[in-house]
Amino acid sequence: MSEKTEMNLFMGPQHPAMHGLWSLRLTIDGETVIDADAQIGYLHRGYEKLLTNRSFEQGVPITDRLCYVESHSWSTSYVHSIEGIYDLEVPEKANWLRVITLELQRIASHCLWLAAMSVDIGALTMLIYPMNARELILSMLEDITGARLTYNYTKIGGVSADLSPNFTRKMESSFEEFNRLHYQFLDLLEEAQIFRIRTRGIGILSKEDALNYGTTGPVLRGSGVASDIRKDDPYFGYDQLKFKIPIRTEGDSYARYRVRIEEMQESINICWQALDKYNELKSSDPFKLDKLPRRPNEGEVYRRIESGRGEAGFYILSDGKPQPYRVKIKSPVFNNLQPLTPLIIGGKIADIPAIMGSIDLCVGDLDR
Amino acid sequence: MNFEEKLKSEFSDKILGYENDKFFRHYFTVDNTNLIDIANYIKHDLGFTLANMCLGTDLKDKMEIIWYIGKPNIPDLIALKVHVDRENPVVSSLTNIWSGLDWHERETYDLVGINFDQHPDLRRLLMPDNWEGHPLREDYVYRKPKYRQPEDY
Repeated sequence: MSEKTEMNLFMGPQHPAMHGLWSLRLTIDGETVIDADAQIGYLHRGYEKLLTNRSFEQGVPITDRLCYVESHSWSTSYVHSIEGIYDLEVPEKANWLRVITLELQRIASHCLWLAAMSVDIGALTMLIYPMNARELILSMLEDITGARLTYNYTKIGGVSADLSPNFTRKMESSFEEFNRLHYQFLDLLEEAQIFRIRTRGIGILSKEDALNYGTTGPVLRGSGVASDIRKDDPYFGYDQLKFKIPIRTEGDSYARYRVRIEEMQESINICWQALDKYNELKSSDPFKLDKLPRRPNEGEVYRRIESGRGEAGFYILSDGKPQPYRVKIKSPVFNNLQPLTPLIIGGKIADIPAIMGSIDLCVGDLDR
Repeated sequence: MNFEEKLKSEFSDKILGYENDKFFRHYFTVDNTNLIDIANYIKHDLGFTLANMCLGTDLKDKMEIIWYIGKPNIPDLIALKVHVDRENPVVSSLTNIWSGLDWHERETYDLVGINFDQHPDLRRLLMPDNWEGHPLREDYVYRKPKYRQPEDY
């Protein structure tokens, strides 16, 4: 019998737990992972080049396709940077509409993450329950924007449509139903001890490592750093709203899971506050700018927003032409995935889906 | 004293240019030879521990590399800017200081063709391993890639 017990295992790209196309080359000894190397780039569509071939306005709809789970955050982030280049002030009404839709988008994204993560670690029934809750949020977004997946709602200098007159009632009934479902599926998942056994103490990311790897969003907050772009670098009037940043100090898979669950409730709270601010304005107030400057200014801008996964930002270098000269997309997943390899080395193969699920991957914005 | 004053007084002769914008981004233009010293100071003395990103731009007459470094709970980002020769773009890697810059530097190598000195693992990241050229350079010409046949393996 041979002495050598190591073997290579290709996890992905056609693996049900990989959340899209990427692959993990594992070296394993029995059930223990000895070495791992992440192979990404299967979904590289060359967004940075695509955007430099289009004018600023033409670029906005395609940034919707960057991430299929959270399209609104990405187009809003691009518009946010473009407004920095044009040096625009957005009407207050547009800001509150953006806050409401961004928070709804965050809840929708977290619902899809919960469904996917639960299925990864074997709770197959849980696929359906968060999807039901997400359906409520998507129907609200459809009411505001007219679309269900790629919204193209944010325009340079404002948004494309105002709220419908009966939106407050719709939001009330939808959130009521959402809360009922929320506690129902939390009971279903967390009361089962198996879920806690599979996620507690698994994939512990220390505070120093989380900062060093540049992780943002729930991954960073699950490691005990109270950092959120909405508080740190406020945009769209988030500094006028009162909300908490949920953090956990354990840094394991369960901590990242809890942070996202608590964020959903915080988002509902933010939506109500933003709607109150919106209702204080007159209905005749503008929700977009009438005129845009003909040409963008020269210079470089890097602005960022907090998407469901973390810091989503766009660096734009403009040379005064209608097209940007250089665009760089700061994807949260790109940084959040880097600590994955050190986290899984030394662990068991069966823990990989539990760690990977808690990072919340979207290969669309990982590969760009 | 705020951090940009501190950095400017500590490396007064090594910082070639400084500008900031109203979005709290602080751009420090530095030379490649002093990059590691300044980066170490930023991390260990100023406490900018959160690696943000790195990007390269082909400016037609030179190459520009920018590293963005952040800190939790403040809006400011320090951006270190280095300009290198376009024909032989070599720059020090900051991956050994902030691990999170690893993939960003690999991506910059892959798409713009900047060589990062002392990078632990400089391979292509997004494009296939046998790709010719660097797609985000201004002089890049697209050639249809040769796909490997099963007998080539």
